[in-house]
Amino acid sequence: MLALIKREFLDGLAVLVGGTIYVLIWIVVLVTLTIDSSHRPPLSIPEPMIEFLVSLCISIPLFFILLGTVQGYIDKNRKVYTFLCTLAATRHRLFTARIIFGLSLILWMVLLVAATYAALLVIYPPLMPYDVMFPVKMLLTLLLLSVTGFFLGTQWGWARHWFFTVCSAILLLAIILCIIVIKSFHWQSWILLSTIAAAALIRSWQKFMTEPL
Amino acid sequence: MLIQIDNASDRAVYQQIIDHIKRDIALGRLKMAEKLPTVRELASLLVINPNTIAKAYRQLEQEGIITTRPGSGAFVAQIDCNLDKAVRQRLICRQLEHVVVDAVHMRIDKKTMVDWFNKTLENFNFK
Amino acid sequence: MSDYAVQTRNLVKYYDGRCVLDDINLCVPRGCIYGLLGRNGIGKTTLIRILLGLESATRGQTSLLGVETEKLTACERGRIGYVAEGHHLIQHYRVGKLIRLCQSLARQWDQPFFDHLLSTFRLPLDRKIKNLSTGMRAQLNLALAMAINPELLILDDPTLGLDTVSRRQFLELAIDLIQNDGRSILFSSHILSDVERIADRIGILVAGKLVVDCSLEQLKNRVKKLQVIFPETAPQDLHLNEIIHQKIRGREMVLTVANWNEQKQALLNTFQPESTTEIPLTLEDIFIECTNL
Repeated sequence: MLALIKREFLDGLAVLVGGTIYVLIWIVVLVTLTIDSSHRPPLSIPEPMIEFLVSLCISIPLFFILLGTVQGYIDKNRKVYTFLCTLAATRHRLFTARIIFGLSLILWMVLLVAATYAALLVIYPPLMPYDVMFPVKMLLTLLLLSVTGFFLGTQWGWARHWFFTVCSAILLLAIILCIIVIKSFHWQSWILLSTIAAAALIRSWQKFMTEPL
Repeated sequence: MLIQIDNASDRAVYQQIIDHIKRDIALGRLKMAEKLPTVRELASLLVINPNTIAKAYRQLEQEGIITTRPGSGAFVAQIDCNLDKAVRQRLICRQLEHVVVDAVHMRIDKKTMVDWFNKTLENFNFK
Repeated sequence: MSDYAVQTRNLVKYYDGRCVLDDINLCVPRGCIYGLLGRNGIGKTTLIRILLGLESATRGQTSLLGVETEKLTACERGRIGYVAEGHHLIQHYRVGKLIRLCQSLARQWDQPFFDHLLSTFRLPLDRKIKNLSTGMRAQLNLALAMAINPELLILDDPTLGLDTVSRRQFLELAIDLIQNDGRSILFSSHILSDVERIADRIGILVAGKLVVDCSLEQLKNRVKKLQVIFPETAPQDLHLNEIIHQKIRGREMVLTVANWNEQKQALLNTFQPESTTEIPLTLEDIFIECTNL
């Protein structure tokens, strides 16, 4: 099992590096914007930080949707799993290793964002007391959005009928966006997102188990 | 021991091996109590399935022509055939009939046939 | 079930409404080398892929080493060596990287044996697999499959792309493997002389059905080709059961019959033939007769 996970990480090194750079770029923009706006001490949490988090909630999950889809598509074409499946590995393990890789990357990138936010709030502490849980809730939403995006991407990457997949993808993304807009960073969003993520995970797992390799 | 296996022959491969070993014994190429190659060795040498070789050896052992000792291998047991005389007659005469029929079709006369037969007997040191 | 290295029960596979495998009941006993034959595109590869779980069957069950394919654990899969048709492997890897991956995943790995194979085949470690010739990929695939000391070796056209020397090397490897107790090999091949040499049992797939599934010796005993000469023109109305092929030319009739026995001989004798000669059949001859149905 460890060997399979190690393979995922080694093969996905480019993705790891690319993802880190991607999130660092956004972080740099965030920090720049925050510094610019804070030549006066902020009353509450600096506005760029909140607005920016919304942008991150779109950009980072989008990255993971693409990652899941592209990875699935490439693996199918390169027949990597076709070969791995004939070694001392089961489909369960192969799939689990892939998911572990994705989740690790999500955690890493969200952690980087969280660390930046924590650092900024320490360096530029707002004058008025603020709800500490608010940035935490936003970050949790970001995490769930990324996870959902990744699982959806994985499901779509292994799909066979492209037209149908693209249509359903657009529909689903529209629904998710509506959920976030309406319910914002609250527990109702989290429950809905978790449900969609779980469904996507189960569907990808099913597809992976039965797909001819 | 290099045996030429003829896949096109109507004799099964294991029978060809048996025939070859019997021939070698009759020709004196294999002597009494001489060690035969193991199944493994022969299979690797001829690149054929070891089960085929094992079958040949088993039949030779049943006929009493070789004996196998566990751990030591297979040895030539005797150069006598232990079949019943009537059975021997049937087997040999059946083969003789084939030869005679072919000879007749090829218009070979009796004298030539007898000459060739005697020559073949000499090759095998028949006494 | 555990006496068999490979077993299928009522295996059926449909592709786009077309029946590729129709009620296949295949059994490969342990310790046996089984040669699976059939024309191109008949479903041999499909059958093998279903056995390994790379594809799912429409109906029926398959089991390897006594375990159903779906339930094979990683450990059990580690005891099965597989050489896929076309030797795709992982194209964008380098040879060395692929070897390390296989080593890390293997439950057993015979490094000295593998090194010996690498040097025999002279495989370059730093080249990308997509830049290897078909023959070299075949050799690599074979070496990787054998290095794990497999209990069951499943080979799909393993000699595709191999030159004559390499083919002989492969046969020798197969014979070496089978000498160890309880090892079994299932392989499909188009080179019938190879199959004839090393196979214990033969299976022939024709039109989705396993028309032959017996030992090589039995097959040769059962299928006979006879040249029958009649005193006058050969009779047109000679009807025997299980005639595979019949050709008449003047006084001569060439007959290929399955399951030749005394009754058929007696029936033939009633037509008073002048002579009957048996024409020895190689496996290739039998195969061509069977698949030209």
